[in-house]
Amino acid sequence: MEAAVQSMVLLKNEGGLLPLAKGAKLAILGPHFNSTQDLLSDYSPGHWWAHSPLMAAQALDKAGEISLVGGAQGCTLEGTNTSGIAAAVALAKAADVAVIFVGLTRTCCRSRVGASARAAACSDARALASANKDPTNSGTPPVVATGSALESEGHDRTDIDLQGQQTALINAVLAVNKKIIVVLIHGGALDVSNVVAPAILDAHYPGQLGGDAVLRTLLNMHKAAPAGRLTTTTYQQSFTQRPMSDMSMANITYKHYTGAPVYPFGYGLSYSTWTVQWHNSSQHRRVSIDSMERAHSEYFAAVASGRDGWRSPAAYSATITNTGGVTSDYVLLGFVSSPQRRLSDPLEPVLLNFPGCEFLK
Amino acid sequence: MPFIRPQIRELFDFARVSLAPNASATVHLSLPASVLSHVDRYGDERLLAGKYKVRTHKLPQAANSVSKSLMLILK
Repeated sequence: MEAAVQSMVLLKNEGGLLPLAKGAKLAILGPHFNSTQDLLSDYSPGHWWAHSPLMAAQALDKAGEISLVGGAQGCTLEGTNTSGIAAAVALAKAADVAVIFVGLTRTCCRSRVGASARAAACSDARALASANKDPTNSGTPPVVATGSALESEGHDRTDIDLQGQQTALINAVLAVNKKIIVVLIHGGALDVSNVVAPAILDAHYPGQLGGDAVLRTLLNMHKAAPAGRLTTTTYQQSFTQRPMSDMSMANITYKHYTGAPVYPFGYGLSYSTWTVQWHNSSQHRRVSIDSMERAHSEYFAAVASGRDGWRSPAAYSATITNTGGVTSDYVLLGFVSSPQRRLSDPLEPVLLNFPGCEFLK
Repeated sequence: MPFIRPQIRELFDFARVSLAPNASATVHLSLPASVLSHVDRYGDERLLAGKYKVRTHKLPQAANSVSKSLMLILK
């Protein structure tokens, strides 16, 4: 739970929609509204006990933390079927806030392993539902994806927009209720620049307690204010035009990308506000190459022994102050940039000059 | 032969703190040589003399945070 909560990345929070007030009337919607196994990350073996967003909301409803209006899938991750959207819209109308769980899936109906995990997930969800004696939870089967919503080994996506009717669902709900929170369940890139929602929380694959971790974050329960940061650059859909065979590092990853990303590497908002002040009195600082090289070996010795407290000759201190009204974590990132901004890969000409490698040109 | 480091920027360290309203904490970021060093065409790892910019991220909600970057001069 702690790991899942610490990983939440708040991408958008217009008008201070988040955190939600205790007792908020919520509708839990979207393709992943009742996902269990689909909350787990790739290469996970499946888990006999995974708690979907709806199950988490039911538990919070019982505990009096929220008032659950109900849950509905609205649409699947892929496909053209829009018949479920009306039910989702009806729930959103009755709620203060609609939370819509969209994204991708790592599980595929075609693989035998996937099928058995899926069957286990369905029976697991039904068993939990009957244990909860809740008629709204029918143990909706997890989404079956085969196309561009599926991300797995041997299945690269060529489209990083939300697939199927997911954007249509979001827009249909927005038409009746402006207070919507879109929660992203995914591993790989998603261009969400078309998502017109006041709040977006990036949960990635949050694990077996993912539903609970998301709701705790939205409600800021148990000091679960979001402080995670994106670990990748969120590119625009047009970035997929870049050929996968292009092995140059030019204009790719946060280190080299010069375009305007949807969200940059390291992005993540907070419920609070912050100031950061460097301690260094002088803006310029001279460090000798000798001292850096001496520290180099000490650094690896420190890493190998798990020892904390290693300081580089180039160490920087800063004071972080929470200037807002919310107790929260804060992550300070330190970046260094090159003396020269020109981009060139010094290894490339060497590789091409090896005898016999001319075909690479 | 002139040598050009390819990175536009690179994350060298981070720190995470938990703070109540109005509370402050001091954090330390360490810039290891391995982030600055580069393997040249002969396979040797080298530190290159020059100016390096050190800064934090830019975030809308840390608008008051340090906007100025620091300069590390390696020689």
